[in-house]
Amino acid sequence: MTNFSNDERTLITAAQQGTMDAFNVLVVTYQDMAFSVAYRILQEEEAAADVTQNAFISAYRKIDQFRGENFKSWLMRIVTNACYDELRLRKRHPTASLDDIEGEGDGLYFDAEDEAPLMASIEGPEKAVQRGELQAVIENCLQQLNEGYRIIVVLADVEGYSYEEAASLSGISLGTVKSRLSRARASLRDCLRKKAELLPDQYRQDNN
Amino acid sequence: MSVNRIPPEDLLALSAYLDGALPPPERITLEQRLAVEPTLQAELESLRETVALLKSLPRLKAPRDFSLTPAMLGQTSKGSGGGAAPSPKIISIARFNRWQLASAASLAASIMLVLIGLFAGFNAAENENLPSSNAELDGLGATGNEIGFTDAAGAAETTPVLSLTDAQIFSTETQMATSRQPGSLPGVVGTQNVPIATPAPALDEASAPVAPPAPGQPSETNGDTEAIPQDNGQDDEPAEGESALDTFDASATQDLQAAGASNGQTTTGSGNGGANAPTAIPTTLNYAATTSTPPPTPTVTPTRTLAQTTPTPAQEAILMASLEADQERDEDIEKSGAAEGDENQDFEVTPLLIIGLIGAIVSAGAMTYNTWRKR
Repeated sequence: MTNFSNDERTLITAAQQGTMDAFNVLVVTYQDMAFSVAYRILQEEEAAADVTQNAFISAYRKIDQFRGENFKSWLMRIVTNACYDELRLRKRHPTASLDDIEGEGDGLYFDAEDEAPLMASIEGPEKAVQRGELQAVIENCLQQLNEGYRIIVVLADVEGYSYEEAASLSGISLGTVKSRLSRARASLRDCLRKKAELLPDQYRQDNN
Repeated sequence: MSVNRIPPEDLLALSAYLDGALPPPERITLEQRLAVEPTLQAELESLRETVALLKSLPRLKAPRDFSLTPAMLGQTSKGSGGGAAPSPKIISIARFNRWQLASAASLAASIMLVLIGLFAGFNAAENENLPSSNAELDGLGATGNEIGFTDAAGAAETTPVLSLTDAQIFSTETQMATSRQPGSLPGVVGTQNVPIATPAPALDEASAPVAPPAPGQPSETNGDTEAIPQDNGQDDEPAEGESALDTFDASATQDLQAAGASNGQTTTGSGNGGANAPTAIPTTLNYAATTSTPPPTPTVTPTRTLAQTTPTPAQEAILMASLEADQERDEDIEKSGAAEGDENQDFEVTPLLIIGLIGAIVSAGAMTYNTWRKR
């Protein structure tokens, strides 16, 4: 693809002038990423789809506020905020503020009521192959993480954002991002180890 | 194998080390430890694998096309985030209308007051009976009475008691509302000011509250109305006010009755200065002498709207404006020390006119402010 950033800037400018079709090109470009993040944070497909759609609608309405920075990050900020709104609405956990989750000890890791079958995945059991099973295990362990920690892990490790970017997207301080990331990684490691015996040999060998 | 297996600071250091985010001094220290601490090393490796697995997660495919349609912009799909713009717009529009409506209403009422004041001013010039009434009141310091006399022209005195019934008086009181509250007396001398005080503050506020407070006031008045016959309405008034009242009683009684009669005859709520003058006078007198006279007829203003038991919002505004007008008159008189009611002039700038102008300015200002705010 030639000079994508130029094309993207042209699309953004057209969208700012009210050309919805130009904005929809951006939608198609980023919708997988947006849905991925939304789904992994919310762990529910329907909620993730709603949040993704709302995020794009919100982005189009606010396109005038885009000041030429990184469009992907700008869009991701909207998606993350939409996820926060959805999480607060659902109130899956007692703490209304996701930032209050830090310091809950083991509550960070296991949420018994959320524990899903090992083989549960968005692909369905029948599609489970070695890689698929592994992915399912990871997704399952992610699901068991508290949202405040899960958001950080999804942004930093799954999506590859830097500490600073993750802090900006989540509205959490840099120090808290680092702290939560370390604890989330340890928790996921423990969860994966727990299921290691059911994993393919490759993983177990690497782990042991 | 729990999260707390190693110290949190070590966990933090390992995690940062994995990302290459550990500053050189700490990094060197950690690497030295890793070389001699197998547990720490194992921890590092397990964390490294975990991060690798997370990074290996494939990007999910969007379950559908999330491209926008014009219909979407009018509403949001189920869930949060996005923009629920229609509702906020509707709310803001409603708020806009409500404030603008209140501002426009008070502006209209203020304009009416101006017209009424003008009319009253012209009528006041015709009245010549003030001196006697004023003379009676001077000693009492009831400047408000003078004003009342001015407006009413000698009608109050000349017109025999209009046979104002208690019912009429009480109905008037309902319209008076706030005026009955002694505690709200402005610094003006005389009891008659009491009724005026309460409405005045309400009027002075932004135009918006004009309508809401008005309905509330009648209820207040009703409560006070019941207390009036018991002659306790002015217990809370300032001492000087009470003394003025006492001084009032005797001389005011007759005037009160006269006023009461004229009050009864007042039919229009427009606060006609001339027509209301008689009633106005008695009203103040009545109020002042409330302690001694059973018939409440408190606020002067009610007189103007006496005929109407259920004033419309516009009339409520006028009523309040009238009350405020009376207060203003009292204040003006006290300041100048001279009765503004002197009908030496061909046209009298009645306080009502002043109030109307002030109200118009305030209303216009409120409308402008609201419009500016909406931008």
